[in-house]
Amino acid sequence: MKHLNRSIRTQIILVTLISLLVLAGILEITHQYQQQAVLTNTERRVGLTLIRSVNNTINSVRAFISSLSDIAELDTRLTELVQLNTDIDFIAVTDATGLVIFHSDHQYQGQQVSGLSAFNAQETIAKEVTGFGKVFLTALPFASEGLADTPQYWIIVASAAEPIQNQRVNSAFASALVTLILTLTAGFFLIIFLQAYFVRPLEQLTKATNAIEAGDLTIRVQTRQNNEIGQLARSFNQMTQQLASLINTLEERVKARTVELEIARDQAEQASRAKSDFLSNMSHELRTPLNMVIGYTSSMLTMPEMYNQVELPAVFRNDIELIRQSGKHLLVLINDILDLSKVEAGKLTLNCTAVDLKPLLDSVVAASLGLIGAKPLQLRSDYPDKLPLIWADTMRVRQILLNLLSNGIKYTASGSVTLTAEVRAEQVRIAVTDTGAGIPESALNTIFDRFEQLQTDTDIQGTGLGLDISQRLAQLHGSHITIDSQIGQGSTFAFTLPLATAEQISKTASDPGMSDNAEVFSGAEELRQIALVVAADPSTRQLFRSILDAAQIVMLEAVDGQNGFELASGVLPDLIIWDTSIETTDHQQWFDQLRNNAETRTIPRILIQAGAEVTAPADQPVIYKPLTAAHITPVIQAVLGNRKA
Amino acid sequence: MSHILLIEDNQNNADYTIRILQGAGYEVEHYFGGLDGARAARRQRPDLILLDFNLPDIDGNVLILTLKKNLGGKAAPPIVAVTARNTAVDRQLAKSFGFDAFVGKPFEPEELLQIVKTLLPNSRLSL
Repeated sequence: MKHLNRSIRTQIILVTLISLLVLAGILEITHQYQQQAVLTNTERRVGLTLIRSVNNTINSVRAFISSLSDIAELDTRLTELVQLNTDIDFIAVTDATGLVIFHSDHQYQGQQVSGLSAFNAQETIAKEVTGFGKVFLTALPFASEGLADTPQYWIIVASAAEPIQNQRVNSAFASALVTLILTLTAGFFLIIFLQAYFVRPLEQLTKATNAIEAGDLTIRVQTRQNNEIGQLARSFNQMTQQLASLINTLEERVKARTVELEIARDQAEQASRAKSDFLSNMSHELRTPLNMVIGYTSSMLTMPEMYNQVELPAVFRNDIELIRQSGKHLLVLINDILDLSKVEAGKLTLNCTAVDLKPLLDSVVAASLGLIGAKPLQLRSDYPDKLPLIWADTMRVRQILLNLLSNGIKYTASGSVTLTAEVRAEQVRIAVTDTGAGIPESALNTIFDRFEQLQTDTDIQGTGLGLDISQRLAQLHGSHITIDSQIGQGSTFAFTLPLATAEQISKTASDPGMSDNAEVFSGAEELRQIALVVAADPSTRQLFRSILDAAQIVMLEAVDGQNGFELASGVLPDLIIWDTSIETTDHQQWFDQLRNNAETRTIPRILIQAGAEVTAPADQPVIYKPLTAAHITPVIQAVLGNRKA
Repeated sequence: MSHILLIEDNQNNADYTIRILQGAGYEVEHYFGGLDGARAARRQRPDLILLDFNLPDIDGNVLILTLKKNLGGKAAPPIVAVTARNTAVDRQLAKSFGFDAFVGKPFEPEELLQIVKTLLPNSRLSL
């Protein structure tokens, strides 16, 4: 931009100067030419006048020449002539040798002049005659009888006109000088004007463009011009204003939309949380009674020791088993619903380990055998005894496989359901193939949709969530369940799982995976310290919660003295923080109990008091209100540190 | 005879658990509340504690901590979380709180006994 600017300025200067100089040159040449013509005319005129004057003079003078003796008469007449004729400066008469016989200016009389021989009778153009100074003269050779080639006298007539040659040179020089000065002055002003008129607005525009580029939309270009540049500047200002208002509008819209979206997102998140919480709680509430259903039916079937060694009579066993299976089915459905809500909330995460696939496959086949019932159906295992470790979440893979096997068994009236597994590249491909009715092509696209079920058999039960969840679980494993189905032939559901890397295998070795429902943890966790905060004021409890959370101390809270003592005596925390500033009727009573109880009296205490005017017991640290984290934290550290030591 | 302390607020579930354990020859003492259970644990020093995660009077994570600390930290008897909050997250939480084992509800008698037997390998059962 700047470069362009400079170049425009340079261009203007150059173009202006060059054109002015050319113009000045042309003018000067024309002027000189005219001047020359004028001067030539003047010369001619002066010459003619001189000739006329000289002729007249000579004619007048001639009469006196013959009688040169009467000098006085000649003097009078010639002086008169000079006075009468303004073109004649002086008149002189010399003899042939150049001796001045007469001069209208008497001081020259008797002087010797030279150079007269350069004149001749026809010459009327001025020549310099030495002796009279730098005066241009016309001299005529003259003899007593008339004009002669061999003169006896010279009649010299000096013109009063300016020395024309000098005048010519001087005037040409002066004219050129004046023209140059005028040209330069005009050029200077023209350049200033052009700068102000063209370059400055362009500079302003450039500056404004740069400012806009930098994000300043308040800039305006000042202009009073009405021409194209002014037009451009005004358009530019208009454009800038529109841009600014457009951006403002846009920003406002974005802001408004952002607020709307934030509100909508918050609402959606809240709704989603509420749903998740509800489902989680519901699941919990449903599991508790199911514990009775599944638990007691199992124990009746398998644990006679719980019944004084009385075995369940065979006549009941089938029904009890049915209740147990139904209970388990119900549990699967509850889990499905919970899983789905988690998948939807994006909260379902995998707990991957290096998994030995063979026992897992064996166990799902064993678990699915019970589903066949009386159907003429074979459940086949078709996989090698030795399979490499895979990287997967055991529980979730089991869930997928149980779902696929139960579907296969459910939808196959006779024939077989086969579970296969084989290593392909860096993956294991697991497939469930049945010899069922097959899935119509029209249904293939919707089969993974939620609540979608093949309505071929009204006896078939289920939520219709199984395949949807299985697909999502496979996707969490970076896989995808594919279906290959032919009507009347059967279907194959297949997915792949990655082989575990050496690093993953070593990681798993140190962290044994979790079993289905019950497990013993390995490795002891660091036991954190517990602090009990007894305070009626919620903001005080909140403050302590943030401080204790930061210090990795587990906080227990009580609102009043009784609750505080209950918790303290039950839990025996590492520290009790007791706020006495809000007096409740029973506060002192319970605090005394705390100090007297054999188990709780040794627990370090920190008292919180409203102000120093209340006398504090001497045996414990006191924090005075107003409370700040800055003066609470060191006190807690000091107390707990002492205890540890 | 091994002595097991059960802290569980649901009567039916408690009965079920007690019958399984008694059937297997263990002596079981049951408390509904966490604070009462903690006091009893300090008095009786049981060989194993079964603790419901969700008690009305005190958070399960605080209770497990206080039980462990009151009963000698690393030397404390094993404490098993027995809970209907039975997800992978719940299980990791239980581990981080310091539980030694986890039994999710609903559980079959054999599942519970398996865990108990693992944690009390040397106890002589009065069968």
